[in-house]
Amino acid sequence: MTSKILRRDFVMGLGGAVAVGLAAWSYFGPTGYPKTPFDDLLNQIIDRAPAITLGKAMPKASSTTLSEKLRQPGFALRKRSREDAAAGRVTEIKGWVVPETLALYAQLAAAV
Amino acid sequence: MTALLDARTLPARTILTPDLAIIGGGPAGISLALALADSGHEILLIESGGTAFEAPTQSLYAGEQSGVAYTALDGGRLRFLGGSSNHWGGWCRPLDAIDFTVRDGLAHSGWPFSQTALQPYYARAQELVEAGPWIYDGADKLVDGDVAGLGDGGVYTSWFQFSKTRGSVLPTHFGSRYEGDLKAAKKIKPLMHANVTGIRLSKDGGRVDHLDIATLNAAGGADKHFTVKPRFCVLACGGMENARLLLASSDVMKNGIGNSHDLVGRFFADNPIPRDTATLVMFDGPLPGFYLNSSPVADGPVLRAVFAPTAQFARRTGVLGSLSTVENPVALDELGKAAVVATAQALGVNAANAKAYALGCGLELAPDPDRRLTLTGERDALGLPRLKLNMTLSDRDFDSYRATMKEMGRQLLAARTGMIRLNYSTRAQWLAAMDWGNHHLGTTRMSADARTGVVDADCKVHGVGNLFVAGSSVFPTYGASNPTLNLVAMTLRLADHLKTVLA
Ligand SMILES: Cc1cc2nc3c(=O)[nH]c(=O)nc-3n(C[C@H](O)[C@H](O)[C@H](O)COP(=O)(O)OP(=O)(O)OC[C@H]3O[C@@H](n4cnc5c(N)ncnc54)[C@H](O)[C@@H]3O)c2cc1C
Repeated sequence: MTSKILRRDFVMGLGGAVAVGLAAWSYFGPTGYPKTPFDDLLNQIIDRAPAITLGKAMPKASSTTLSEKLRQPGFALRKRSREDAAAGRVTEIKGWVVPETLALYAQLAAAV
Repeated sequence: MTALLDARTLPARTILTPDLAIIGGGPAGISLALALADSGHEILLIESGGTAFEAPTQSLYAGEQSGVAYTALDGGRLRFLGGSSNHWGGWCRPLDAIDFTVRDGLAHSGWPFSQTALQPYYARAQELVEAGPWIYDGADKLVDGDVAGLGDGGVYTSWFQFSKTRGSVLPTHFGSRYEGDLKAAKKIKPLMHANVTGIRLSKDGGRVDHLDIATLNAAGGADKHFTVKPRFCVLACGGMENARLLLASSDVMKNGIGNSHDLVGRFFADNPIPRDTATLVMFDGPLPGFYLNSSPVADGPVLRAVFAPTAQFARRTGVLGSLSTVENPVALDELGKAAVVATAQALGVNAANAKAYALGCGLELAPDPDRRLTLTGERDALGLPRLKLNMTLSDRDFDSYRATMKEMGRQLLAARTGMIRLNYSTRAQWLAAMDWGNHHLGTTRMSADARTGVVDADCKVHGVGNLFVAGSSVFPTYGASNPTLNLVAMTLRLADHLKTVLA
């Protein structure tokens, strides 16, 4: 008897945990951050926390405007950040000289 | 061997008649005397101090100040044999070719000759400052370790060399180092405790007729007065005092000697050395030690790497000279850590071993006629009017350095080797971090045209046949290099010229 109840509880508990997990998964996505309409962009950032810190040091900007810009062809974070400096595209964030593209992604990370 | 002659032991109203009187026994005056030692001419080296610091003599240097805070006038120089080399740092680096050129957008820039005119004199100047074999920008190949990977761009690794240190004596003190050579030279008479208080011109103003000399008594007041009547005279009293003596000698030329165009004392400059101007992060770990410390290489010379703008970048952007030193490792704040992690990840590099450093720098200032020395109504113990310095620093001077550092930041990112933080963005921040090289430049500037210069390309005062000026007061534009090696080279060039005019 006892063992039956335990099995039922266990199965229910497991089911509940999976349900919560699925709900969290669908809410946060694989990054541990809530899903946003900009995840195609934000998921290019390896660690979101430092990007958010950096972005918060910049003036606030609209995530829609930023995303429109970053969804243009050729704005992939890694590739374009690597090219930025050679092309003279650097910007200052509280004195830190960083690739312009990274700054835009960081601004977006802080805006959502 | 002649002894150093003490002017206080000469009878009052003595008249000395050397071929050449050199006023001032600092690096310029001593280098000049030694260069002419075998010329066969009688040389009198007139030095205000003795062989050690004496407070009453030093107080002759005191003066007033206005404008941007600056070292006290009696604090940034020393008045005894060897002059300010008695407390210099020994940093040596030749001026760059661009420092001599007229630069677009930089008013009052350019020397009346190019760097090549000084080249023949650098080897001997390097010997006199005792900075070892001439290596400088050839050092990359000699040192143990690689220079920072800056990639292509407007900033590169350049090099200082250092005047030799021996035992407890820091860099070459020209007085103690060359006292023996001065005494050994038969034709050089070093006259100590002799203060020139006036340069007296012939009635037509065309020649120096004589110099007024005064000594101080034990109480620090005026004692004896006497006269030197030289055939030729060289003023080598340092970048402030050269102007003071010319301005104060106003009995014949009412505005002072060489000052018909109101230039004497104007265009004063120094190399500001603000601290902690930028934070440099190298993703790959520590920089080699030769960036952080003066480092001896195998066969002797002591070197230190610095970051400098290339001539091409300076011409394209109009930035002024700067030499950035890596000072010490620093810890990053939260934003700094975030900037490094986010940037390294975006660039696809590993920054697990990243190391951060504070940068300092030595800057070139833009020539400014309002940064100037004038005489005040107050007089020193010997009756000479004291100086007042009006110090200025323009925002352009700061912006220029920021542009150079930003370019360096860009290069590091492009090379994916590191990044930079520019630490100051307001004038108040710059001024709070300000320190000074105490390199006194520009107050008797050189130009072929008497309307734009006090001395001509031979360092002769325009309009005065037998009066010359030695030292960094003749530099019309300044560069960021410390001046002493360069002013010694200039002085040796002047010595060559004097050999011909004295003959
Ligand atoms: C703290 C400090 C650190 C420095 N570090 C460096 C460095 O690392 N590298 C570098 O290149 N430069 C450095 N300098 C600058 C360097 O000391 C000067 O460039 C150099 O000393 C100038 O030489 P000078 O002969 O023209 O003038 P001074 O050294 O000023 O010598 C002038 C001489 O004239 C004498 N004199 C003055 N007035 C009279 C008068 N009326 N009658 C007779 N004699 C007179 C003085 O007693 C003195 O001996 C430094 C300076 C200071 C203060």
